[in-house]
Amino acid sequence: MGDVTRPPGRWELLAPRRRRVFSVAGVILALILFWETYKLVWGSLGWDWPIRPDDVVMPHVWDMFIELFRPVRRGGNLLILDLGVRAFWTLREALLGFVIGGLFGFGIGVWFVRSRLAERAFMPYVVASQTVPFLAIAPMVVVWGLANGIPGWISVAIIAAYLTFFPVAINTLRGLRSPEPGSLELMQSYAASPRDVLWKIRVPAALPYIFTALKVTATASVVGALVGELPVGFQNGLGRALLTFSQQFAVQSKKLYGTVIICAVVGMLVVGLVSYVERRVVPQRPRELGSGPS
Amino acid sequence: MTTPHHQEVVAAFEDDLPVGSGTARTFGDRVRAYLPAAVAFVAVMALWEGAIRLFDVQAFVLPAPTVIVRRFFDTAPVIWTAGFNTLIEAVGGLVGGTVLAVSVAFATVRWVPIREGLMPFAIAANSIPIIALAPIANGMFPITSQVPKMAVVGVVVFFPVMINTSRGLLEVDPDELELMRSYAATPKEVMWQVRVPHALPYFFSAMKVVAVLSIVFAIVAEYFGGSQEVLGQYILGKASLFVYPDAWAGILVASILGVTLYAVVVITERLVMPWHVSFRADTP
Amino acid sequence: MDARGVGKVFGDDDDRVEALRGIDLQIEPGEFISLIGPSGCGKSTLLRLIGDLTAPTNGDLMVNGKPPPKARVDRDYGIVFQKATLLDWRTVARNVELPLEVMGIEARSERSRQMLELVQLAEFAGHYPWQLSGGMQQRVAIARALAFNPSLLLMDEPFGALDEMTRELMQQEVLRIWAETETTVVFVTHSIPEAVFLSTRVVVMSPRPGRISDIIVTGLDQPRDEDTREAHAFFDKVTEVREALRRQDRG
Repeated sequence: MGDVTRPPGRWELLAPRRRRVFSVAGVILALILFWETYKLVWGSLGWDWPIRPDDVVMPHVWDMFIELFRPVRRGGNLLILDLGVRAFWTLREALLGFVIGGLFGFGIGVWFVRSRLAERAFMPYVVASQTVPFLAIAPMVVVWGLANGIPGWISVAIIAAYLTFFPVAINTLRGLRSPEPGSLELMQSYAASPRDVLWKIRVPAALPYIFTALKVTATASVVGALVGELPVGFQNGLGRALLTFSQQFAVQSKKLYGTVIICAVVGMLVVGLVSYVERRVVPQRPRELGSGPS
Repeated sequence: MTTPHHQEVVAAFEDDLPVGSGTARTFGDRVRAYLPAAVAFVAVMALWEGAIRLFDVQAFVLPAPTVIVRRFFDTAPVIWTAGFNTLIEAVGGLVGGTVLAVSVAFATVRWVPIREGLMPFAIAANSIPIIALAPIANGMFPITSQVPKMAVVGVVVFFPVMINTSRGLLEVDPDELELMRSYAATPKEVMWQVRVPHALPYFFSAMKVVAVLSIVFAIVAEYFGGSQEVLGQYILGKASLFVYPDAWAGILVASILGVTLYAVVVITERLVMPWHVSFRADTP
Repeated sequence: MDARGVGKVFGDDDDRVEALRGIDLQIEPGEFISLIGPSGCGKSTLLRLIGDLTAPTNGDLMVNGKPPPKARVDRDYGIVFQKATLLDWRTVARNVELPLEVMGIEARSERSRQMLELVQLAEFAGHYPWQLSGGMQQRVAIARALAFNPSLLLMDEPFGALDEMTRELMQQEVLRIWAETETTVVFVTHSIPEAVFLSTRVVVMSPRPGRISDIIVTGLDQPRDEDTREAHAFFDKVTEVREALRRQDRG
């Protein structure tokens, strides 16, 4: 692919990390440009379809940001502070569930590797647990919890854990089984104990797979948290803000957009956190885009 | 957000099956594989039913299975109408998102700037909780419209399918490409003879994931607002009126729809790629 | 190592493969033995039997006067495979330390440094395996195999994946290490010149069922070097081994 006979241009000379940042920034800028151009062109031509370019449905991008620094209500806190507190709340639930689900998933993976019997017996249930559209029943789980005296945020954490454990379990299992037979024979020649084999060979080999799953389930945990916060009776968190502003769209659309931006930031933060941990724990080998267990 | 879940469900079914690892699996083998699960399912249902009757465990929100099933049949016309409407949203988003994703994937092969520019963005965008876009989409269109839900599903579908298909198209063995070059093959021939067949497993892997997601996200998008005639609003409505058995009956419909869409993808896969399925290769 | 009447059968009644039959072989400490033969002659299987990576179906096998399982538990031998099988997530030095960790041996980093010096890769201690060439990775594998001072070194076609020039260099290296550490070496190979160059005795094996067809003493001068490769005696021995292999086909 590509012409290797040309000398490298400016783009190729940039470090991959830089390149990625520029790419993402470039696409975002393009999107903003598209948004504003649409508003301009459709607005001056008076077109309504598919989306009306008025300032309620499509506020100017800078207005969305400015709104973050306006008070939530007359005499109230700045929106961004309010959202910050809510974000903290949502993050707490999501991360708690994420960590619990992750540990549980890892434990199941290790257990199934040690005991083929356990795997045969329980894998079908583990798989079946995922055929229920759990995200859809998330609000009901929260209501059930509240009815039984379980604080909302714990129920939400449980939802996040549920969404996390399965992919982590499956990837852990795959990763634990990934070492070459040669490595295992080597350990056999050292008369190594099963525990040594697990912790020195299998687990380190599994880490890339596990982190792949963790990056994806981190976002899933946030989604689960947001949806779990929807039911009436749940006052905190970003999900509630989304719903409230959505219901008051006609007057609060800019606040809604601001909230969405904060949600996006939360999502990226969580995944960024996992990536950071991954970089510290797993030695990074330079890779082609998209190769490897991800 | 990509999903983890059903990608892994798929993998679990395909490579780490509980029953032996041979490629010849008869119907009898399959039945035996799922027997413990079926037995346990029945046991759990019985336990649940028993617990409700004996201990009156908050039947309030979590009713007994028999009650749910009865309401499922009683309210059949209503919930299936709602289910159908939701299905339209899910399928609309699924088809739209897939078509767009595949087109963009093809574009990443053809034009390097698109590949370099879009892939990092797609991977970053995956970390955003897409569900947050649901209220915005709802605001852009009339609240009872099905379009915003389709849009949300479309976005959810787009990223995994685009990323996976791109990978499949691009990560072809360089030796195969050299072979084609030695035949003076045109880019079109290379695309269809080499890249597309290689990409099919990746494509179907992503499709299995998003097929189930489409239903779930259609429903959750509806939680943010929608007409009365859709599953999400039905479930929410019944739950807010404390008529929980009906709400759970709605969830049952959602499960069935999800599994059906998944089955459609699996059947399509078998028709399109009979060679792959018979080898039971390790799907990415 | 002392093998009498050793046999190995794989598979069950319907599907038996007799990999080895009636192996009688005695190896003295300090020798360098090569096992050579066509595919299916059981040379790798014999190596694995010595290393207790599989068990004989019949016959007696003793390593250092003990049954192989005990020798393995006592960590009497080190093994090098055709693939270096280094752990990606560990540096070169930590890879060499792996057996020491498992065996609970102290002063690991010191020992690992010594071994890397022995194979002349001391400057690469902090590198990762993927940064090294194939030949270098194999040297690390050898360092790792010798790290805990085994009396026996088992090598299964370790240079099979390397090009000819690197191979000859590595052969020289192995001989130097053998002389310095005074280990006994059992070396499986496909290459006649390699077998003759390295060993004190060449064990020729034939397939179906796997058995020893000839044992040829090389009797070449020590230490061996580039000149040895070009000596008449060397060519004569290579021919002798080649003839022994040919005889199997006719036989």
